[in-house]
Amino acid sequence: MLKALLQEIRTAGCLSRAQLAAKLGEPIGLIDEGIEQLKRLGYLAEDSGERCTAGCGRCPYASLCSQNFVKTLSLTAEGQRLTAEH
Amino acid sequence: MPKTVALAGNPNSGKTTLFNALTGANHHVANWPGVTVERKEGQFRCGSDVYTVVDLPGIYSLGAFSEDELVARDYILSGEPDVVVNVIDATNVERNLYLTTQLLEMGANVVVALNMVDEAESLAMSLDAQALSKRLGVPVVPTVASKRQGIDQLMAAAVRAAADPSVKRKLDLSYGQSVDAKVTQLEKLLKDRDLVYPPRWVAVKLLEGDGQVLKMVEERLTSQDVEELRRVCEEAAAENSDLQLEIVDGRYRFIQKVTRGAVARPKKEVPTLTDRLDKVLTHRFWGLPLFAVIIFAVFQLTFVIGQDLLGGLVGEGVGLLGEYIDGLLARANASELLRSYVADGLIGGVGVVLEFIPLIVILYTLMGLLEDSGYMARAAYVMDNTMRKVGLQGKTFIPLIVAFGCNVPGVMATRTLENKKDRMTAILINPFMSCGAKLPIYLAFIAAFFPKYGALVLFSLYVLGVLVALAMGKLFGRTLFKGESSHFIMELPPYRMPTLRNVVRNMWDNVSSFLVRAGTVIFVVVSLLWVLAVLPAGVEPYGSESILGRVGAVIAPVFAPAGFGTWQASVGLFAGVAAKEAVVATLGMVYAGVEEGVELVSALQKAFTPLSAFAFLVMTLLYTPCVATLATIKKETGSAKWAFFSAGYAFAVGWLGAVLVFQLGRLFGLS
Repeated sequence: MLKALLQEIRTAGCLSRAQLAAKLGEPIGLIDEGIEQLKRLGYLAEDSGERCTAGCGRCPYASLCSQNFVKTLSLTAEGQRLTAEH
Repeated sequence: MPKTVALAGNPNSGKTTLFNALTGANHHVANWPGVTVERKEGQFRCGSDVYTVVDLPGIYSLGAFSEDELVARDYILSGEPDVVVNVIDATNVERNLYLTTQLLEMGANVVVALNMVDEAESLAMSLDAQALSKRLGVPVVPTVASKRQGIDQLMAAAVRAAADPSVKRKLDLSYGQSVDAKVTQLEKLLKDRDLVYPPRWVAVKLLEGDGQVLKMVEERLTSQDVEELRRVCEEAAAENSDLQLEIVDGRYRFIQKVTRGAVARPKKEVPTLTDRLDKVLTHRFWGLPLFAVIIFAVFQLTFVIGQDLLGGLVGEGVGLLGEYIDGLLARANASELLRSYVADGLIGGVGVVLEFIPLIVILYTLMGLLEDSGYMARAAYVMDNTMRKVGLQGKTFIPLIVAFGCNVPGVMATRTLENKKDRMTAILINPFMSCGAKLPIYLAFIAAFFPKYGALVLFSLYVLGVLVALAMGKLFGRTLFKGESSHFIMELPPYRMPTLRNVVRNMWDNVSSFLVRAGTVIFVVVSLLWVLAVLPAGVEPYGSESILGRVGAVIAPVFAPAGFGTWQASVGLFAGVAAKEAVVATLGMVYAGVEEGVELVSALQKAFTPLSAFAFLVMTLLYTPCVATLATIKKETGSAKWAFFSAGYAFAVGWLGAVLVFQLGRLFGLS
């Protein structure tokens, strides 16, 4: 299941979790669980979009910055290696 | 000694509701020894017997990744609980069974509470508790803890299991041939040792690299045995670099086997409003055209409301304020120089930037509506296909969207890109996005030359910026930063009704920042340029003999092929490197000073043709980023080389674009 999930993320490109669940025919809860495991095992990296270290309070451009961060999950080098092997 | 029942389950599985239903007020709260994790313990009666109930922390698995997991695992392995009631959320059985599987792997005496079955029924799910029980090999009792349904049956099953632990299920999962062989090898080495824990479970944990279990093994086994165990583990890891994944996947295979036919969801789940909207708005083919139409509609509405209805209000206000202040200065016998500075420098320069406030207010209000509704998050999603065609990924578009507000946070937002190729490319193409500071330039020239086609011209500039960014992205991908883009999925937030508070806050954040910049950066730039425009003494202020005029005249020939080779346009562009709003402010000052009371719009109409005006807009869209952006590029890339590169290549692209527009336009007979 985890390999299929990782492969789907690689080949299908940009997808939401809900679409991943529909595509793999699994409930979204299990997809969430699988993603958590893949993150823990180092095959996926989550990015909350809030990695700016300036700290909004001290940043003169805070008011011009995006207030709604987009969360993304990317394949790590390990994830890319595994999917390339299969 | 009363028997002990431990409650284990995922967060939000209804475990604490069950604990409260069982113990009522008869419980107390303390901490687990040595940690800050809360321990809730109480009593419940079953017939004449009293049982102790321990509510374990909510966990998803029994690894060693958090204090909660360790506390729960250690407690279960200690043998203190006679039975573990595993509460699972019936609406999310598959996910919850991961913990169940691990409990069974460690040989715990488990009874499953299939909780919230009423919610599962409302979702038209069908659950076969008997089949689940047979496949798991432990009792499975449907419950609704919040309504106290099924609790008596559950506790009866728990009491039976506690009374006869010999019937408990021991699960020997298969993790795949190669992993199983290593598990067996380790199990043999661990057998008949004083481990307390089941040898097979310890073997699996050692292969999973569980530090806590390794520590326990080191304390209880001889160094020779430990060495041998390590050797087998290292050998296993060398043979299979995805060993841990194979073990986890083995558990999922088991879960799929257990739930097949026993847990069924309606084939056609009722689509939510977000699902239905996304089906249209993020469609593979028309998602992008729809995005373009929506953005165009935003621009059109901006001009209808901001210009047709509100246009001129602030302009008139600024004009009246200028006259009033000039009157005051005249009555106070102020010097001509001071009056000129206030009238031409401040009112003509900074004031002219403020005239576009109504348009900016409307634009950011409409954009705020899109952002707060959740639609803007879809922009990167619908752009993914296009981005991939040029060798970038959709995620690269997220910093570009941020750059529509300001290029500085846009460049900083590239930190979210892990891949160096994507990040460097996104940094270098970021300044091609139409930031808010470029808006007054567009709006001034649209008012002067394209008042009937404002939305179209504005839209074309935004689109041109994106197209040039994509083209340069592709070029960089083939030359400077070769490599594969990373793959990703996005968490798309659900659509929601925008709130007035969020929309107004978003608009005010942008407008107030604009006003602050008008009062600081632009004020300073205009004041400095005003000094250069009236010096040296004796020359005609704002004339070609002033220092500013002479500097502009030196640069002007560069722009002649683009149709705006005047010293005024040149100093305007030069000032724009300090801050883009300064382009309009400078043009306002140099034109206002020449002819008393002249408006920027009519001055522009005399100095430019529609074709050269559009070429000038293309130049301002694409040319050298402002100093704040360049400083951020230096900081983010860690090298001044890239900041200089960005300044130089963007100028070349802007100049080339402007020359192409002007020369091709002339070729087609435009003027």
